[in-house]
Amino acid sequence: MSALPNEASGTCRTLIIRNLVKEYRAGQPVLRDISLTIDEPGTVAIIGPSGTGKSTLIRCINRLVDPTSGSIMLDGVDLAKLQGDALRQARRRLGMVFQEYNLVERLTVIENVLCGRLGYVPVWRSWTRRFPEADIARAFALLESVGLGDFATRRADQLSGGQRQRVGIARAVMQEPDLVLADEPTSSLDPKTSVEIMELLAEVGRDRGIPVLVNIHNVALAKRYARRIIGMSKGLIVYDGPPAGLQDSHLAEIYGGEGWME
Amino acid sequence: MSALPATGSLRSRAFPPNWPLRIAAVLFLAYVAYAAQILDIRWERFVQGLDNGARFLGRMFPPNTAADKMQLLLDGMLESLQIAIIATGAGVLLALPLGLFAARNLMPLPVTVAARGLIALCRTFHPVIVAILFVKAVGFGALAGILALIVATLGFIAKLIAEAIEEMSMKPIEALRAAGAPFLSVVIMGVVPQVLPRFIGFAAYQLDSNLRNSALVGLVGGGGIGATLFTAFQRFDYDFVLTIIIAIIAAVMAGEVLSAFMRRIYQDEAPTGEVKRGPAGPIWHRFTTTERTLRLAFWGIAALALGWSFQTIEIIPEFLYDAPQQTVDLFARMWPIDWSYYASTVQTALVETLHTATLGTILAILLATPVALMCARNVSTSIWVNTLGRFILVATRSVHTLVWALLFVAVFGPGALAGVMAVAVHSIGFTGKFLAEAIEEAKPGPIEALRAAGAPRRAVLLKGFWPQVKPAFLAVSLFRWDINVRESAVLGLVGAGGLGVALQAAMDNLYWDQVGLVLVVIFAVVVVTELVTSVIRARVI
Repeated sequence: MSALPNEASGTCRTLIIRNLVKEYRAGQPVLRDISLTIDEPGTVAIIGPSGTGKSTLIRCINRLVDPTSGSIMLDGVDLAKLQGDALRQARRRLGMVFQEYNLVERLTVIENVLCGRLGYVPVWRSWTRRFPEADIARAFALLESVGLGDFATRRADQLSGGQRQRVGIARAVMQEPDLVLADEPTSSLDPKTSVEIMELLAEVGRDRGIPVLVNIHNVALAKRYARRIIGMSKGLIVYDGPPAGLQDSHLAEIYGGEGWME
Repeated sequence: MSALPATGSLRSRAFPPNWPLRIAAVLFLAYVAYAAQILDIRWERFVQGLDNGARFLGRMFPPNTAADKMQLLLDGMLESLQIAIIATGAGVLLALPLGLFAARNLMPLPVTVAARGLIALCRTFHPVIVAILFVKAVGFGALAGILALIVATLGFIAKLIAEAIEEMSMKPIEALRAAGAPFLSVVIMGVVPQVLPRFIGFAAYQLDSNLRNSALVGLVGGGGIGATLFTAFQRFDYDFVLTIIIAIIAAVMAGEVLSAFMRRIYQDEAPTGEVKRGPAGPIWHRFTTTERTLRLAFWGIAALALGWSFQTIEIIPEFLYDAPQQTVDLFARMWPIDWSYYASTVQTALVETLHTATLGTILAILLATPVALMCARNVSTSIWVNTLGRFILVATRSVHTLVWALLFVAVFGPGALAGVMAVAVHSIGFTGKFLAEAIEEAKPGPIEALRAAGAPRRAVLLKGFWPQVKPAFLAVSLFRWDINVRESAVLGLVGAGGLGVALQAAMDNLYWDQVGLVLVVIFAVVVVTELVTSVIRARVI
């Protein structure tokens, strides 16, 4: 696969999360006091058992979930406090990749990729599909780079899971993001495709010089592609460091028990 | 079951008697007899009616095709068509935002409550009653009919759009929001593609429904073919009546062909577009040439139809100037409501309406079941039987309950018997269509097993199909009863008994405070039946 046609956006942004708490029901925190700083490009993997708040953490950053307390500073702006238009403007710079791809099934692949520009273009342009020429050219280039050059006019619901996720990634990159959030991007895919998708995400981070924050169940994949691993358990961060430092004792603490590791 | 008697016969052990069901069956028969007696439905009247009916049919044949009548027919049909086109166009346009506002997964609670209230109000009153009110407000003619049908369209389409939006997948919506898309862009790129296929289906259905209903509003002064039909009835031109009815059925069938065409363009396949190689790289076209041509053709035809309708429809502007004043005046005269009218007249009429709806529905089910069996391709394999069945469904459905009531009043004389027959015959189409679909969806496995065991046809129907179709059967019956209560409330306008008689009498006497009372009673009945059916649906089905 060729390099993604997106020049690095210069200096990497800094994301600083301080004392983040999220309670869906009062008194039952899913995230208890999360603090973390991301200021270098590359893949950061969040691992941890189901229900430990990985998804909630990622969704708090782009405010698909509203945090209960704490701050999420991106270059000096507190995302946790934004509302309305300001929130929309901030979201444009946060690309998101979903577990179930979340494509608009009845639209074509190219229309789905162009959805990444919806935050930038006026409403009439999305109504008439008259996206700026430059956007359309970039969408084609991006499709080419994720290996779907010939699929532009296919409907999204005719694609395989791996192909859909590539479209999902292209849509996120289309936003020209400063940060990519990926919520279990490989959980619905077979092992081979999972590797390809992780490869692609790592490439996005490398080529654009931006951080890619990935929730992932597969510890081996996380170790293989991430520059840094964050282990979560019961709403707290219990490990934060390079993959090499991740020991079996850490895994036992994160997931509990040891029998599953054999 | 542990409570089985040890000494019972083997048969009663295998098939323990279902006492609640037996008691229910006896009560049901008792009710039918009681209600028939209340409505003065007797065998002699029926036989006598058949006699009348034969004479009536004799006077209808052959249909009148004299040149002057054909001109009247053409004028009426064209006006009805214009009414239907304008009402569908305007109603659907207004229903889009209203349906969106009513969708609970996209809108804040207060907005949805307000929108739902408006939708419920539009749906409560029968189009004929709405038409009567508009005739008083803006005068006789097409405009009143258009406004009444816009209200009906709004209630129907907006509700279905809201439901379609609430049932769509929220995942793409989440993705578009995460990309920072403004609300309207989320609607355009995320909601519209998901909802469009169903929406086109509703709009197409509404066009032929409005075509049918435009025959209806004319009966009360709302213009179109209904006015022509009513005049023909009053002049006893029964041969011309038949011509008109045939024309209406033909128009509705043509409408169904047209809506099938609409569905093909918009529903079955989303546009794929195409990519052409240009000098500077690939060029994206949203539609292929064929897709664009079909869409242009569709919008061109729609624009032409609307333009033609607006150009030629007869609207008297003078009537419009004082419409607001007339409306205020109308409601002012209804207030205070004359509650004493209830005990003297309305209560009896109300009881009559409820019995008419119930008996009509029961009779409709009896009549529709054989027709549904004719239509179901997995029961009747003969294409001729299928086609005949389908024709009966379309023909009974195309002619509105009120028009059937006109016919049956001529046959059986004024009163609830005509009402019951009208409700029953019109409901055949609706009930039969859904029953046939339910039968066709039955799993073939058990049927094959019974046939393989050499079971006769009756046994296959009873033991193979019936258990599978029963839930749908109950649901359809209940749904139709709900509709029939609304229909029965207006049948009296043409003399077929019930609340409509009280309404007509009050209007003829210009006792608007009594009209107000009847409207309040109809409103209450509709709300109560809707509650009752939703409770029964939740419990039983």
